[in-house]
Amino acid sequence: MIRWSCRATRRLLESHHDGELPMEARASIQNHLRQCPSCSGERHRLRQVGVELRAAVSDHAAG
Amino acid sequence: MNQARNQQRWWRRRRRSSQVSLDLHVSQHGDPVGEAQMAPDRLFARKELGRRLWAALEGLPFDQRSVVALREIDGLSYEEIAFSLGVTLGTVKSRLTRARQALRSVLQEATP
Repeated sequence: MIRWSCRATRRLLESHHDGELPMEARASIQNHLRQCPSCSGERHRLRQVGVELRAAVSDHAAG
Repeated sequence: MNQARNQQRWWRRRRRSSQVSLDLHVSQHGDPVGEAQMAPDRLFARKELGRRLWAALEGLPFDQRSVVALREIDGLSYEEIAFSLGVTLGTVKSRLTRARQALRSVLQEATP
């Protein structure tokens, strides 16, 4: 498995988050995320955008 | 726009077989905390954040708004979005990144 730097991880983090990367790259990024609190925090913030946006849309639809 | 909607419907029909009901999802993953169980101040903060995010979504340029909605709300893949809107994968990615950055800045302001 290739060892990923933070820079490489950040570049592909959004595609990874969206499930758009091939299996090998996905595994390498997951490995990096397990070891890097900074990148894993970035991933968490990316995830929160989707979570909060869906909640906002749902609230708006409910009135 | 109608053509994009038709193409999106086609993708949705294709995807429907892999979807699960909400009841099944809740039985497997548990029920999220309901609003009735939330403290009033937390509930207010959550509603306020929702209002701000909705306003930010509406304030996005149409190109970015449609891409982020198709991805985050409808769950379409990059390829499906590109097909639906008649744009390249690169365009989908760049619009999605810009839209998320804008929404994220609203989140950061609301939850420093």
